[in-house]
Amino acid sequence: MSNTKQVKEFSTPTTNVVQIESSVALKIIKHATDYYPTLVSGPLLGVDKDETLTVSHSFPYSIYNESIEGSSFKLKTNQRFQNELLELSKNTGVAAQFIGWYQCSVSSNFFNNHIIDSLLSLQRSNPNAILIIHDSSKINTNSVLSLRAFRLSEAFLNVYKAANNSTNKFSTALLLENNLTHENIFEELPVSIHNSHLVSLMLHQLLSENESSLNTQDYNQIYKNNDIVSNSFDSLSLNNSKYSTGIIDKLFDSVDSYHYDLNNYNYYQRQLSRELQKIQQWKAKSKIENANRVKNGQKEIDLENDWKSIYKLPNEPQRFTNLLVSASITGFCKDLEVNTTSELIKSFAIQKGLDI
Amino acid sequence: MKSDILHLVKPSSLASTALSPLTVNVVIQPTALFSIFEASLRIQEGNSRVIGTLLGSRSDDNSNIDIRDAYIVQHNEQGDNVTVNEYNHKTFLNIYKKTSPKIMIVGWFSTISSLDIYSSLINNFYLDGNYSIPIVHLTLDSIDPSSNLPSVPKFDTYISTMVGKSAVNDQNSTVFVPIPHTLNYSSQEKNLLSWVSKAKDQSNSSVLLPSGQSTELINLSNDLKDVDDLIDKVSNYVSQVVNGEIEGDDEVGKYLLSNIPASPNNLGISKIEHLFNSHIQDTLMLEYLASSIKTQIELSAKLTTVV
Repeated sequence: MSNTKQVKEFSTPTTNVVQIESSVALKIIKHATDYYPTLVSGPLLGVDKDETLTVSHSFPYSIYNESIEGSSFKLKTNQRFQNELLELSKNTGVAAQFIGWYQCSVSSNFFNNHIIDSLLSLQRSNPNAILIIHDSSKINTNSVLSLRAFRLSEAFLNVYKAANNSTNKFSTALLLENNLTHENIFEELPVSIHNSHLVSLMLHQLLSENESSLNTQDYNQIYKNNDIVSNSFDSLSLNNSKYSTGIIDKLFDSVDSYHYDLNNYNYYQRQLSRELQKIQQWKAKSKIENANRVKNGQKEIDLENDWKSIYKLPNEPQRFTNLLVSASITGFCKDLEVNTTSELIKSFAIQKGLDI
Repeated sequence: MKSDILHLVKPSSLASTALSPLTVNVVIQPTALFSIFEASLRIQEGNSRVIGTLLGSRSDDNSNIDIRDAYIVQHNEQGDNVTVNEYNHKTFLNIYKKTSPKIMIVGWFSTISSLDIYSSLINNFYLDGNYSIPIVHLTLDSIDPSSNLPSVPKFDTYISTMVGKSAVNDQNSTVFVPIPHTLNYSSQEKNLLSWVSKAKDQSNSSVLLPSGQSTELINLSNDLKDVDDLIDKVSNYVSQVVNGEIEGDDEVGKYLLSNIPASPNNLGISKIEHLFNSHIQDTLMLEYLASSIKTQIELSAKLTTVV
C-alpha cells in the first residue's frame, strides 16, 4: 500500500466516528480468541460517509510469526491477500475499500515502528484510515471488551512532515513547536457497534421469548446465565492475576528500553554542557582580547558567531523512541491503575460481605 | 454416480449420516450467522435469494458439524436453470484456506425459506459428486411473505439425500431432511453480544463503546447497578410470595435458599482474613507502582522540554 514513488501530502481526515458492524466485531474477537495469546491481525474493509467511517468487513491474516504488533501489515503475502480480497469483494457487489487494519495487542504494547510506518503510508493514501486495537488479554482474563480505534494525530503528522525536511528528525524543539507529547501520538476515535435490522429483530425476538413468562429473564440471569441477551456478570468476579503479571512484565521491558534511550540522551546532554562551558570560557577570553584589540584599533571578534568555526555542538539524538516508549509505559500504568482500582472495589465489597 | 442405478436405501456409508439425520449435530457459530444476516441484504436483481457457502469443520465420523463462517457466492436464476459462479466460490474458499488451512466446505445457505427446484440444483453443485458426506443446507427466513417486509429471522438446517433414479438431466430428486441445530458461543463472544444487544433499542441501532482505558470501571459500575436492580426485583418477588399475592416457584426458592447464606466454611475465618489482607496489600502496592512510574514518565517528559 505504500506509495513511495509519488509522495502524496497528508490531507485532513473527514471522518471522526468509527462504526463497526456487529458481524465484524464478532469476527475480530473470534479470530483473537481462537489464537490467543498469539497477536493476530487482519485488514478491514469499509466505506466513509460524511463523518462516519463504517467498517463493514474484516478478514483474518494468516498466522506467521506475529510476535510484534504491526509486523504483519507490510508482509508481501498479506498485501497480495488484501488485493485479492478487494477484487473479490468488487466482484460480489460489495462496494468497500481498504480502510485499515485490526491488531490484537496487550494493553498499549502497540506503540512501535511497524505500526507507525504502516499507518503513515496508509494515511497518506487514505486520510481516513484507522487502526483498530483489540486487547485480547483483557477479554480473556478479565472479560472486558476493548475495541479502540486509532489514527496518527495531526500533531504527529506535522512533526513528521517537518522532520522530513530537516536533518534532525524528532528534535525536542520540533516536538515543542507542534505540541506533540507521548500522550497524543495517536488520536483515539469513538467506536460504536452497529446492528443490521435483522440482528436487532433477532435480539428483540430472543428478549420477548424470555419475557413471556413471569420473571424468566431475571431468573435466567440469576440462575442459568445461558442466553445471549442477559448479563453474565463476569466482571464482578475477582480479577485474574495473569493479566496484571502480563502487563508488569511488559512494563519492565519498556522501562528498560526507556532507560537505554535515556542514557543516550543524558550522554548528549553532558557533551552539550561540556561544549557550552568551553564556549563560555572562549567567550570570556575573547572579551578580554576584544578590549585589547579596541585599544590597538584592531577588528573585534564576533562573540555570537565566531565560536561556531571553533567548536561543534553535538547532534541531538532523536526523541522518537522516547516518545513511543513513554506512550507504552503510560498506557501500561493506566491499565494497571484501572485494573487495581476495580480489584480494590471488589475486594472491599467481598470483605464487607463476608464480614471479616 | 451417473450410472443407471436406482437408489433406494443405501446402506453403510449413507446410513450412518444422511438416512439417520438425527445423529448429525449441527453447531452454528454466531460469526457465520451474522455473516448470513448481512448477506441476505445483498440480493441481486432477477434472483429470488442470496446463496453462499458455509465453512467449518466436521468430525471424523461426520456426526458433528461446526459452521464457522459463510460467504456469498454469485448465482443466476434463469427459467429452470441456475448458474453458480464457481470462480468466486473457489477463490473465496482459497482465501479462507490461507488463514485457517483446516477449514472446509460443510454446506450452503440460501436466504429463502422454501425449498424448490433451484435448491436441489444448487445442492448438487455443492455435493460435487461426493455423496458420502453430509452437506448441510441452511435456510434463512427473513421476509414475511404476506407483507413482503422483513420479519423476525428464522433459520432451519437440513441434511440432503438423493432419492430415486439419478440420471444426468434429472438431478432434482433430492430430499431435504430437517435436522436440529444449536447456537454456540464462547464467553468472549457472549461478552461482545451483550454489548451488541444493548444496541437493539437504540433508534440508530448502534451502541457506543466506552473509549479510553477505563472501560473496566464503567463496566463494573454498570454491572453493580444491574445487580442492585436484580436484588430489588428478587426481594420484591419474595415479599409478594410471602404476602401470598402470587404463587412462589419452588425452583427459585431452592436456589435462593442454597445461595444466599453462602459463606466460606472450608477455610478458617482467620485464614481468609489473612489471605484477603495480603491480597489487598498486593493490589495497593501495584497501584502505587503504576501511578509512581506514570508520574515519573510525565515528569521526565516535562523536564526534557525545559532543558
